Amino acid sequence: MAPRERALASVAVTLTSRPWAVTGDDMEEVRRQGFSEQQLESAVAVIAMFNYFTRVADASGIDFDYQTPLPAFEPDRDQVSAPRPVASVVVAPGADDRDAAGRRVLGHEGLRAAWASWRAYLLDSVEPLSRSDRLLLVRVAAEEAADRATAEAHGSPAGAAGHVLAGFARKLSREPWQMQAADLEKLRASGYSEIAVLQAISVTAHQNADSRLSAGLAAARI
Amino acid sequence: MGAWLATVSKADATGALAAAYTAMENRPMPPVYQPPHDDAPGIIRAHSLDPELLRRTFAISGLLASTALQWADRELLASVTSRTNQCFY
Repeated sequence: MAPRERALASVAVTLTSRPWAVTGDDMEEVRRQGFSEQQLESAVAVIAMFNYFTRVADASGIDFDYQTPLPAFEPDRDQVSAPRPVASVVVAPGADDRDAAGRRVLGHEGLRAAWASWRAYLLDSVEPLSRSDRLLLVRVAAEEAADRATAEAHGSPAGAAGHVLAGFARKLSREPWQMQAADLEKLRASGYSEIAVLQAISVTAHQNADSRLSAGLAAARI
Repeated sequence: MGAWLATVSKADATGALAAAYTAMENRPMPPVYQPPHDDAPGIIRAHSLDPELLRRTFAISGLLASTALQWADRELLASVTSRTNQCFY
């Protein structure tokens, strides 16, 4: 891989597998390869969004759609996720490029609005998943990304223990490649409707994307 | 093989879902991303029980397709991200 592509790929790998570990130096290397600030921001958003799509694909069990002359990709379902860190950086609220909760936001206005609208729909709806169920999924997914500020803003960790949604969100966040049909069955057996199952997948996958977006934007603006 | 999650095919879609599928179809897309069947792509269909969720989710991917990043760079990021998550998508 050429240095230009390697710099991008390196950010994608780190932000995906260890979002807490992405640094300003990783971003500086991308800039050195000739990418603009806008392109860097787009790159972070694309990585974040594909952390959403891959989780929805894994959890929903959809088939591969496209014809390709390349050999089929064989996922390594035994891959071990990176150990989670014990502490993470806490962002200070107040700057122009942060929201009320102190989180970095996208500079691209249209994208920022679309992201906020997506998040609001997933977090603020009350049916068919309750608000407390949504917050539980958000908290677990944020914890798994070591996004402690978000995790702590969404309720107490004690409430999640043993909850069927907590186990679901943890697996989907941490080892999405191990998702199975049986994981959806557990939710159905606990009384969740089919659309509630879809929303549980989506809220969890969304928070995985959102925590990676915040981590990436923070690293890009240090 | 069908998905684990219930979905609504394009042929069965009505109302808001039919409108959302049509809007997605009308987006510019390279031929390589035309699925080899008449239905909507799996990742879109996975959202079909909730057309409003489908609309808000794919509004973002639509915007990401028109940012300053080149198509090839976007594809690289998408495939490295999927590979890191051991995902075929």
